[in-house]
Amino acid sequence: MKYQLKFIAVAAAALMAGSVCAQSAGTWMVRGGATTVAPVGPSENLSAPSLYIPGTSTGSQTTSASSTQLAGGITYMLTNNVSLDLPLALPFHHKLYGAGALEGIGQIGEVQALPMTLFVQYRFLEANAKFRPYVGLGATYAYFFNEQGSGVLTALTNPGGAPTKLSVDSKFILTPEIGATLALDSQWFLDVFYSKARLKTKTTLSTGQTVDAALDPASYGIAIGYKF
Amino acid sequence: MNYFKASWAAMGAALLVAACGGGGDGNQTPRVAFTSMVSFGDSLSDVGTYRVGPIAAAGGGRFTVNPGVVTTPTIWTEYVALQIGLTSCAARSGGFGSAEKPVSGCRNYAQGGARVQNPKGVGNSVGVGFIAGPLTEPVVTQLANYAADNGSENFTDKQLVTVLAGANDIFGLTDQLKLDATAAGNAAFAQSLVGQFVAGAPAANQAAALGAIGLAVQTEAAKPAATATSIVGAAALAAGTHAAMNGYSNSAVANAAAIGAAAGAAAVTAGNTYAATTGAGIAVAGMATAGTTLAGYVRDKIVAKGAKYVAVSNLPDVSLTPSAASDPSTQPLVKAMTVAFNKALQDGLASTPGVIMIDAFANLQDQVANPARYNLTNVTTPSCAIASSLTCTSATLIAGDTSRYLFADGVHPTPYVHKLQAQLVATYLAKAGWL
Repeated sequence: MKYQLKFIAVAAAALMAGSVCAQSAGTWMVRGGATTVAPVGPSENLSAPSLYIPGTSTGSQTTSASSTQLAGGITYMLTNNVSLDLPLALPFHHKLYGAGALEGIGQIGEVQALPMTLFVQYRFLEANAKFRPYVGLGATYAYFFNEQGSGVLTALTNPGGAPTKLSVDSKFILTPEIGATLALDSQWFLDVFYSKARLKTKTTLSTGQTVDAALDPASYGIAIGYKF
Repeated sequence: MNYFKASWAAMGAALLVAACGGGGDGNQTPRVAFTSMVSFGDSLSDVGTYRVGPIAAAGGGRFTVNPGVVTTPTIWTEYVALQIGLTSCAARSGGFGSAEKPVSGCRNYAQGGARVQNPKGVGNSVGVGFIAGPLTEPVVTQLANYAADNGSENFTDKQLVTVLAGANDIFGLTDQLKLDATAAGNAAFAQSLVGQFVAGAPAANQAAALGAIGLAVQTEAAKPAATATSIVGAAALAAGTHAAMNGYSNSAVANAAAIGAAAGAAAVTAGNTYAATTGAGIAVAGMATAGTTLAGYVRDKIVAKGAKYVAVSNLPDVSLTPSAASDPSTQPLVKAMTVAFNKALQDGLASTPGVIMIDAFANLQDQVANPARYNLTNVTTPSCAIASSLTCTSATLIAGDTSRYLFADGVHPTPYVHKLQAQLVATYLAKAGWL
């Protein structure tokens, strides 16, 4: 609540203020807010042995739930229009649910994801424009870690046996993004962005089975930033 | 500003944590804290009722490829029990020469050969009290055994109850069908035979000849050693004798061989007709009755007695077993019987609270149609070199790698497929929120 009140006050102040400070070459900016990472689902079929919906080619699949986390970033203006941007975030916790033949089975695991990206951005309009849309292209290392199985996953893959572990392959990918900043006053600004990456990963179970998934996550977030 | 400083610090810490992150087991605890698992059924659920005397000596006891170490989970009930932190062990021990006795603390009442209601299961022509071979106590008796052990018919709200039965009713009813079809064929044979020989006599002598020839055929057919040839011979002899004694000539006597062949053809036709019509109808209706009966047991003797978690499996498609496939003429009937049972079971348990129906029928069909999905390498050939998997071990397998075969013998699955069945059951349990 304290945060929201502050944000509204700042926004109101910005609308009334006439002058803004430029996002010009050499400017450093930091921001903080929230980002949501929403993978698409479901995965492809789990490799054999995999239960299928009888009479169909739909097998055992998973889907990753979206995750929202505290996030922000650091931006450095190389020129008046070109910037380098390093998003920072707490790890995203994605719950894995059954899909396909496993629809309705509930949570089968959990994975943490830390997408580490360095964006090169192009910011339109004048350096001192109040509203600056931008596009960016980032090199991302999608790092997955701390994968957790569940009793359900074990029951489906190795009933009565050792708990089934899972491991999600981390990947280098390219991430295109669009976004915009709105200057709130000479220092403070609002940043929103949307990115959509193509990310195919392979998850390997300790039973030796694998499942490929085109997670193709959409990320979007809002942050409040400060220019130095 | 202070807020953001704290945030950045947290993010930095998260990055450090991330660098040393590792995978884990997650929460392995089932959502329902089951205190015991109780199973009823037949050889598909039996975990060693007959692991006694000669069966135990041969390293057998379960109707699959028996493991070298008895405690190795092999049957789907064992896998499921272990998954919920319990064990599934045979509640009765005996048969094959040993007296039946209860096993303290064990709650798997399934017995190989058992039917739903009929105590004369597969391998047991005597019924109640038979111990020379498989006990085959039917599900209704297994429920009584549970009540006796438990001191009450009641179940608790923390028990997982599994039910899978009916396959032996197929075998019992098809065996009966074969007997009835043979009887129908024999009757037609005798009728055709007598009719043809009587027709060889002059009209005035036919009524008397009928009595003599009919009696001779009946007498010969009643002998244990009777054959078609011997019956034809007896009929021809009676016809000739009756003609000689009564001073007429029977033209059929010289044609005995042709008459016998015609009667034989009539017998085959009659037997097949019976099997395909009346007999098939009785067999299919019998399975529907068995399904309805089993559903009634589940409702009245399990759910009504307090069970809250009951997993009932329908019958796998028995027509796809090597045993059924070996006789293409009855394979469609076996399928019709299976379907009739499953429908009656399903209908009888529709919207019964606490009951989930596991579709093993569709699952086996998918396994046979798409073996690669299940890593199955063979879905038609039994992996055991011996007829019954009850005593099958690694020492009695056919040559080659049979670890991913579907069938252990003519009707029973391999341990690998039992594990797949456990996974199927687990899927249903998880969807119901029980796992």
